[in-house]
Amino acid sequence: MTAFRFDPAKGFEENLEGFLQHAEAQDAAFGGVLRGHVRELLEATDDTKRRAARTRFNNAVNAALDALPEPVSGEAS
Amino acid sequence: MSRFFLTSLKVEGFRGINNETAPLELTFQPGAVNSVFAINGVGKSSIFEALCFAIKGTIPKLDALQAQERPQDYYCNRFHSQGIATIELELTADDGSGTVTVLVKRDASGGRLVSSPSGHPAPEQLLKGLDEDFTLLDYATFSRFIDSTPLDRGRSFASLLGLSSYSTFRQALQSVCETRSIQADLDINGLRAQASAGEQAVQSAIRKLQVAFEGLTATRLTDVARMPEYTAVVTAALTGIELVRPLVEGRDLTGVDFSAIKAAIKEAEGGDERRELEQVIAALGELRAVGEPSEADFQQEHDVLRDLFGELDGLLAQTRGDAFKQLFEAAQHVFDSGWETPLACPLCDSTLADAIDKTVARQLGTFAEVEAKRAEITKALDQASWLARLKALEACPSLRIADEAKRGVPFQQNAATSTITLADAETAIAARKQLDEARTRAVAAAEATKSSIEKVLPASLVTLTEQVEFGRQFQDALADFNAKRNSLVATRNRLQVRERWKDFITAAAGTFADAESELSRNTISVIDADYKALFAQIMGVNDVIPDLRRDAAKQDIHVQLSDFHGLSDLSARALLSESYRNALAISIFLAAAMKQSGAPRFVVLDDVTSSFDSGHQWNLMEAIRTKLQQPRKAGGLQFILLSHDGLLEKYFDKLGSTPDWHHQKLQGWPPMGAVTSHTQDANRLKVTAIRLLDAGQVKEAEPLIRQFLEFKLLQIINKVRIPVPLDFAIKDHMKMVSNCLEAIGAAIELQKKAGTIVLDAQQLGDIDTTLVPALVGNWVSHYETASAASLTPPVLKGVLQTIDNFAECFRYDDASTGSVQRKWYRNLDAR
Repeated sequence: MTAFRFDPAKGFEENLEGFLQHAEAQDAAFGGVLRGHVRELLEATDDTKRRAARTRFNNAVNAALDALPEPVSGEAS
Repeated sequence: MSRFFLTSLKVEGFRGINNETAPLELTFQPGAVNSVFAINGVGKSSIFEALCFAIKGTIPKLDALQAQERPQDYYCNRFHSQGIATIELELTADDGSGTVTVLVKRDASGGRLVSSPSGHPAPEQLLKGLDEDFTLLDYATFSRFIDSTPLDRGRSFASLLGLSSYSTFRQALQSVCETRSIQADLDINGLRAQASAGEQAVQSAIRKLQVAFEGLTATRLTDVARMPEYTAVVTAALTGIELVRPLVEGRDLTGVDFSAIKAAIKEAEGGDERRELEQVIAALGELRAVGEPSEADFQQEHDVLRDLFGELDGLLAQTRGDAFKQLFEAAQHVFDSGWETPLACPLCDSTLADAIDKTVARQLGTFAEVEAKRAEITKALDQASWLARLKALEACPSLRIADEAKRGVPFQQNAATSTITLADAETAIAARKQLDEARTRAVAAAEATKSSIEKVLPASLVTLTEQVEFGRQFQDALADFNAKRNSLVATRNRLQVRERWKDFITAAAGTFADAESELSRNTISVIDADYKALFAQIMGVNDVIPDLRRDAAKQDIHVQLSDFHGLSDLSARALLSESYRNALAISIFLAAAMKQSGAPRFVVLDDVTSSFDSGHQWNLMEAIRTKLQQPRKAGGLQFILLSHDGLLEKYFDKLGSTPDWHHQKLQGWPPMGAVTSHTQDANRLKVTAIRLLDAGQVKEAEPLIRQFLEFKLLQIINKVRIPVPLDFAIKDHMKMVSNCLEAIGAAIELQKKAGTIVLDAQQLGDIDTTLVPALVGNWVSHYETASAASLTPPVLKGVLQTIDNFAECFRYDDASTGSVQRKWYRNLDAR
């Protein structure tokens, strides 16, 4: 990703929104997936919560990736 | 966005504060430093915990208890008859937009209910917004800060700078894209294996197509992209056969019914030999579709595999098994958190030749090399043509291998879980050789059978049977090829999108971490001058200058001394005494808090000066009053200080009557009795006590009676300026009822003997003959010694009336201004 900075004058939520917009500018589809499930990661304040959040997030992402329009990946052989 | 001052707090039934039906009420002024003093055990900590529970939803002290200690049973006051805790916060917006009240209840079953009597639409969100890292600060937070490892300090510093949300999110983001996790959670390895197997299946289908196509047309099928063209050629070849033309012409190959064709041939020219020929041709097609072995290539692959296993054995010999791996990983975790003496043995303190963290890293490196070698073996097997051939041979129906005898698929699955050995590989290699030998024998036998049948059947029938069978095989292989190719494309797409996501989320996590790191460095630089100036003011020194430094690559925050009496770049943790360390932490926290712009515009400090001497305490209080408290400091904060320090109380008392300072003192008998602020109406104690006595609740009323008596006696001492002994003046626990009475009695006796007593004869008589004996005889001796059974409610109500009458002995009617005013004597010898 290209350079990105937080605005010290803004709170976390505003800066998070800026980060998500930056991510969407890099890849709209993946940025949308990140935005869709980002809340899972906000309350993970210790290792236990982080592990649980990681599993929830990656499971949700797994399903979301399958729901994306299929790319053209070329011939099989 | 409005920011909020905390302007009132009411607590009932929470922790040490019982106050049933009469909540403890504290008021705080936005424009003044607010101090609350209480001696130990009078509920100060319960106030801090009430704010913690209201704003954060938890109490750290109870969170630290183990589950079997049932921390959930200790939120509500154990003596409150309803077992319900209520905490009411009044918040006043700093932009004049009004006041909000939020009521937090915890019921006996542990339920938390948040409401807003003032009608705020989202009181829980409002409280959540107040949960900034600087809102509630205590001594433990400060002392932990300096004594932490650089990493932990970095983490708590992120909190302090209001960056904990960034830190939390960054860590979570990094955890979701950690290689092992994301590959497992998104099944990337599984999809890779699936794609590899799919590729082999497609190749197998292509070989079947080639055999059938060549058998039917005597030309080679070389380019799968031309499959429609090849299919048309097959259809045309079948259409050219007179007997089957009606069943093929005008049809797509997939729609041709080969069963019908075979029935037509059977009807035209029947016979067992022709059917056997048909079966032999089918078997030959299957066997030839496997292709010919390339023993030279296989041998090369076997050599590579044996070398890899040899290297793996060598690496394993350098490790000492999983138990040591776990030990080294645990040690590395410790070292990663900051290890100050890497050249000293942690067990015997002897000097080490190599730094211990480097030794551990080297050992773990060997384990990592083992894992990498296993991965290399797995990859080599995924790409091994001999193994693919073993699986293809085992799948060939003509070789009739029972499922339980097949070795290829289980061997590759075991390789993926790293449980195979060279012996397992040698077994699979031998199995492949045996199967190829079996295939060679089967091909020879089928060709011999075919040849013998061809000798007894007419040539035209042999050719016809071959052509139809090859056509059927091509049809089957085409369907198989299409299905396998579609499946492979789908698998590759799933794999590709996950690998792209992995790259995306890893890059996103890196971007976030870089931005957070920069924000943190900027924030440190913004508060740099402020915390240094505050530290200098609190400690009164200019040649000890602290310096916070954030590690360029990591989260670590180092606390150094850029100047220590002329020396430079030394460890603050090693050199500073406890009071200096805490002063530094306070300076950093408050400088950071002043830069925040979130919802809370107040800071609650709970006993933060415990390690300070009085001079440094005074310096800190002055810094808060003059440089941090709004409105004196434009854009400053509202400060609420909780303290049990007797010396600080004197300072609070002194400033309490000035506009800059609002002081309150707690008194009472928690956890059974009530806790009150001295600004609360003392008469409420009396009213509550009488209500309890009328209800027959003597035990509940007694603490309030004692409290009321103390209040009235201290009021007399203060108003009439009764001289008291030195220890009475400075020790709060000396201010008991009997001590008060002794001080008052001694002062009266002194004035009487001097002949200067101002009390009239009636008052003196009441004190000597009625009031004091009634008090001392009937209540004080009973209560303070707790040696007798409880007195009856009527007697106790009499005690309350008596103390009021006693106080009246020190007042007089002043008619000097024209109207009569009831006043306190100025002292015992003057009005």
